[in-house]
Amino acid sequence: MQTFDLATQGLRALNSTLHGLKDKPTNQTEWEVINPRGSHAIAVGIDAPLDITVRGSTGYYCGGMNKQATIRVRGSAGPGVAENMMSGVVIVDGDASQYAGATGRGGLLVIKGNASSRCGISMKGIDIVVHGNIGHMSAFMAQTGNLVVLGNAGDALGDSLYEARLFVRGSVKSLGADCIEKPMRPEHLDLLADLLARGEAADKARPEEFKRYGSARKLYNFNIDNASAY
Amino acid sequence: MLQHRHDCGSVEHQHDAAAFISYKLQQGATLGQALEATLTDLDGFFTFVVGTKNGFGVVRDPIACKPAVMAETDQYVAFGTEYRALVNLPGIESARVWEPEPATVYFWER
Repeated sequence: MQTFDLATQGLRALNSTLHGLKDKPTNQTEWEVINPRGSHAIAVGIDAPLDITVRGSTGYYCGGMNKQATIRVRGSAGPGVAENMMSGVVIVDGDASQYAGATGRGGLLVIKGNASSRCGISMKGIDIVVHGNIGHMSAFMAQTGNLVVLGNAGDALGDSLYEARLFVRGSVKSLGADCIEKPMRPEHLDLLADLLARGEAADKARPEEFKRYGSARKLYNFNIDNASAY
Repeated sequence: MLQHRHDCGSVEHQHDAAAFISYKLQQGATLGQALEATLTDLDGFFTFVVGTKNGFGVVRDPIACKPAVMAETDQYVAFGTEYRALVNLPGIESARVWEPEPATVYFWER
């Protein structure tokens, strides 16, 4: 295991070292980052099958644009964790701040605590599993991918949603425009079982306990009768 | 000018918002009432952190896109726009770190 001390070596050195491992055969695949102290942009833009553990809480955009790497935060994450992730896995042991997983195109984001507002905003293929609750305006304009919430969802869940699938076990404070509850079919239960297993939540919840929410598809095309909803 | 902006009910600058609070206090409102009034009387994005001789209050607008983080221990309550601003506080490792809910008034008194 390689240990990188952010307090002495600095952020730029960390990221350039990790970027340098792209497309190179290396045995330095396991990394530990110590003294993160809320630093921004830790382990962003990685494109290599690395295993990175951050020992502490992170600031803005940890794991952003990730490809292939598995990044675990042994603390809480600031705004925009795993934003625009392409592939790989980001696991946050604590809570996540605003817009976790925003615009993510692939990979898996797991938040073991709660996520704040706008979780999964404009998600485009990422899978997000939140063990706790999510805040207001989550999955706003979400296009595809899956958002699984073991706790409760805040106001305006899935506002102006496209084809992302939202699964919530607890209460939903309110649904956003054009977001409706939909029946759970067998394929959704299978999908959920897989997501819960990969999201390290199989022992905490069963697929049958969730409700599914998705787009009513009323906002796809302009309709004068819906003018008040635009 | 500030009076005029209060009548419009929109927040263009943070100091307008501060003027709104002091205006409400002059009108006889308690700090708690003044903070509650921001949610009904003001439009726009704001976060208030208000300190008095024996109290400390926080409120965010209903959209809450401006960042805010609190840290709480038995010894203190701290506010910052991000966790990084709080990392040098004593006992931060074991503090309860959380984000204030939108449109919710928090108040601590000693």
